[in-house]
Amino acid sequence: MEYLMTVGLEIHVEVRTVTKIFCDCPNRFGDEPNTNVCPVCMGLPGALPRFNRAVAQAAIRLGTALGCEIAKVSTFDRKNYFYPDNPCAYQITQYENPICRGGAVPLGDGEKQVPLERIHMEEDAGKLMHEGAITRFDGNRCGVPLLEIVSKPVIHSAEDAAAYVDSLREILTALEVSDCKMQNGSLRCDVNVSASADGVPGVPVEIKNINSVRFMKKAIEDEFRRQCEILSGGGAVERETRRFDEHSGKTLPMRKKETARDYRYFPEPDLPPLRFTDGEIAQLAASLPTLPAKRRETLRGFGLPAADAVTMAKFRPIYDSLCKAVRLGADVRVAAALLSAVLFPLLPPDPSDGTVAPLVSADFPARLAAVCRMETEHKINRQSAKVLLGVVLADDADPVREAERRGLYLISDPDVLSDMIVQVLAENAALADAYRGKKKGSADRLIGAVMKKSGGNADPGLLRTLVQKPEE
Amino acid sequence: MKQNAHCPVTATSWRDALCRGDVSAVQLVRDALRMAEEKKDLNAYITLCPDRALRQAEIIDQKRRVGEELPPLAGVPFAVKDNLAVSGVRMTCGSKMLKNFVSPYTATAVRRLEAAGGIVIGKCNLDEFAMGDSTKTSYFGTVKNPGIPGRTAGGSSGGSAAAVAAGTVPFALATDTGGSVREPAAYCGLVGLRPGYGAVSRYGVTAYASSLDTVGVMANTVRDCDTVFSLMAGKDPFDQTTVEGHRGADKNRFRIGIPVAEYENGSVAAAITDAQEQLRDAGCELVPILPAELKELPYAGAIYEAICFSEAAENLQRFDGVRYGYRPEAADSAGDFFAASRSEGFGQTVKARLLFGTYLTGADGVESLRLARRHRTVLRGELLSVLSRVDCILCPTVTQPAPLLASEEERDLLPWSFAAALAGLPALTVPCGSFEDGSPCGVQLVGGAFCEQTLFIIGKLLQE
Repeated sequence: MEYLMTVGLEIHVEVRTVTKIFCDCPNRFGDEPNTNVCPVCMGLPGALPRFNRAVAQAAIRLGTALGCEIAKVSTFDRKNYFYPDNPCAYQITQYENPICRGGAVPLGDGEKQVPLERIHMEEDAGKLMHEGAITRFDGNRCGVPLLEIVSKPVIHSAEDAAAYVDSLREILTALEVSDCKMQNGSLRCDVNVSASADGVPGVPVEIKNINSVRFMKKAIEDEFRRQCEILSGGGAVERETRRFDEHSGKTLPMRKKETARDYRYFPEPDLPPLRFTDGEIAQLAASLPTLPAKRRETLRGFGLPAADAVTMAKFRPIYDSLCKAVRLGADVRVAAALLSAVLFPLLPPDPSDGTVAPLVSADFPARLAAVCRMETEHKINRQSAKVLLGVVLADDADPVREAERRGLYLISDPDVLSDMIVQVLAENAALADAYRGKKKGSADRLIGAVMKKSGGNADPGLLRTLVQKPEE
Repeated sequence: MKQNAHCPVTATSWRDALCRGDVSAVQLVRDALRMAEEKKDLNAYITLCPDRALRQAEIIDQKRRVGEELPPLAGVPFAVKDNLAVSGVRMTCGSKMLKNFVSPYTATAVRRLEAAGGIVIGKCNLDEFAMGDSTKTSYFGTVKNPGIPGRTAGGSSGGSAAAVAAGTVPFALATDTGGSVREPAAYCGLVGLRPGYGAVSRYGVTAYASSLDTVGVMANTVRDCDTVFSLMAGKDPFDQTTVEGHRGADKNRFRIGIPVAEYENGSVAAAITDAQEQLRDAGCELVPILPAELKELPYAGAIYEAICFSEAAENLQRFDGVRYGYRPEAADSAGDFFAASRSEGFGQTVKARLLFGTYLTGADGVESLRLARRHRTVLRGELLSVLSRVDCILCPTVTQPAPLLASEEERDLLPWSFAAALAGLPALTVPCGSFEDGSPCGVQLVGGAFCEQTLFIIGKLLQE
């Protein structure tokens, strides 16, 4: 029996605004418990939410990047449930009229895309810390702004699900909407998995507590297997919420049996409808940086192979420098190879656009271009080019002057090289005999010797020509 | 400052006396506190805040001593219903649930009056969480009507009304969701204003029904209500439902809408007739309003209950005993903890309304709620249509004297109080006539959107 796996993903992302979504408390991770709180996010009597427009701006930027329809008018709703981490016993979210609908997330750089249902804004709940018989409540996270990104349930493999999350994280990071650290909870994945056969739709099971993309793949595969076993044994899959257990690699029932809740969605009376004009939306769209996918496309357009394009597109400062250098005449492959060999080893641990930027000065693109041109014009060889680029990065030096100062220029004068060849032959009788006798390998040995004599600076192409077609 | 029949206790006269140097702010506050203490048996106040009040009074007196310009309410003591937050002062909402809750912040409306020099001397008794019309649901006991023995001061803002009527303060702040300012004001012979929705910030008002709650004021004169309203009103960034745009009144001849109706109680009918004549004598034109123009009016009460109680259920969910409020002895689970906190912390009326409200927001009841919302829109449309032809509508505020202390009676509720609330319109109640036992009667003027100023002008005609 062939079963079809169907996966839907609901991803919650913490938005990196300065303040929370409904009050002016700092939106910060890691502070002392209950220090970033106020009457609003603690649900004190008389407090009212006040919406932070920066959250909507982030949502609209993300929605634009993903090709969503942006709602000019959207509203808020209360989602009701009692829980100790939920101060008002309702969460303000968007149920009826989300800020974004439709759109799609590309998978890698190919044609494949996963269509989205919606993106909406909501507030986060507090944190509960269990210490034996006591549970402590920390309100710092109450009111942290979240974007919920809901895919259509049209993913059919764990690989695609992983590619979806990777792609989304790349876009969110490039837009500076979130830092997407799954281990810190700034990006959370809930997965719905179902198995179906013969067109009979499967029962979706929700899986929570997934802390990395790797574990998400495992969870999906294990859950699919579990459902197939049930179905092939003639049973029915129960609709439930399960949690992924990292140790066993299996999905397990949630300790508390989650009965179906009626959230009694209620239009939020304390917040007026959120309105954006066409002009404001257009302005936000215009403010989008070039996304990694587009960067990769541009680099491939310059002639860079796909794999290299992926590496070079990763960090905006490097991408920008490379593009500028190419436009100043650098050969893209040479530039990429040099960057790879010289700049990438210098990147700090856990690099980001922010930590990479200081490594490249404003003059760097022009200097990179100069080095590349020197190599392609055969003025220097690859080894020298690497050295020069290293000096450019370390001292912001002018490569032309450095090449002269260090004597890195290639020897391309045929007379000079011919003299060297003659000299080497004179110094090495055995080699001279072998060479004149056209013994196998002797030409290469002669080339090697002349190269060594020249300190590596002989123009290799010219040298080979001279050796293989001796005037003498 | 003594009250006498010819010179009612007013904020403006006390402030003037302060400016002239006839009295100090400290004296005003001490007198107010002393009177509140003397009239303790009325049960109008739940908490007095003498230290805080005297400190503020000293600051005002110091300003006066150095010749600084004094703000409009300088030194005037006032009382605040105990569901409005005042920093550092207990806020009980008349409930066991918040018996020991001290607010860490002050409501915007109160803050603006304090900035104008006003001084809060205490928090007034109310029906529990503002749910009721007699203060009989208060955890802290019922408020007695200062003028009429054997009766309550009405509700839910009974304490605020009694505080003013007993002469402890010239005005008090309260909340009006479906009549809770207007009704007790009428029962105690006071002027009471329910502003239009969005005119005064709700930040710091313990929410009852979010789309109906307003911060109102009760005083002896229309002029004081006008002064206090002007100082409190205006857009507040802490309440995104506030709006600017209140209109000045630009004429002096008004058209008064008179609903064609029969009032069972002779005193009420007489009060309405009396009010009509006064207004006609003052040059107003009386315009009859036919029932056919307000087809939704008979349903105002039912629409109100559905919307009010469902919003109340939502807003009172936050009282779960976790971060503040009544905490049960022990519980085996979070669910049990919440259930115990709320079962033991809330009174019967509150629980009944919350249960009904919760039902209406759930899958089984939500269609009824949606129906109520649609009808609300129609009712508002009808009222606005009438108010496009007249400057205000004149109708009774109450149909009987204040509730008796000793009995459980069914109240006849007029739809007008609910209708104005549902439409978000301002309404002003003014004393007019009296019932057979001498209890004060009141009539209310329901105005157009943003037209509080018009109501004040017409209200003053009735007070003369």
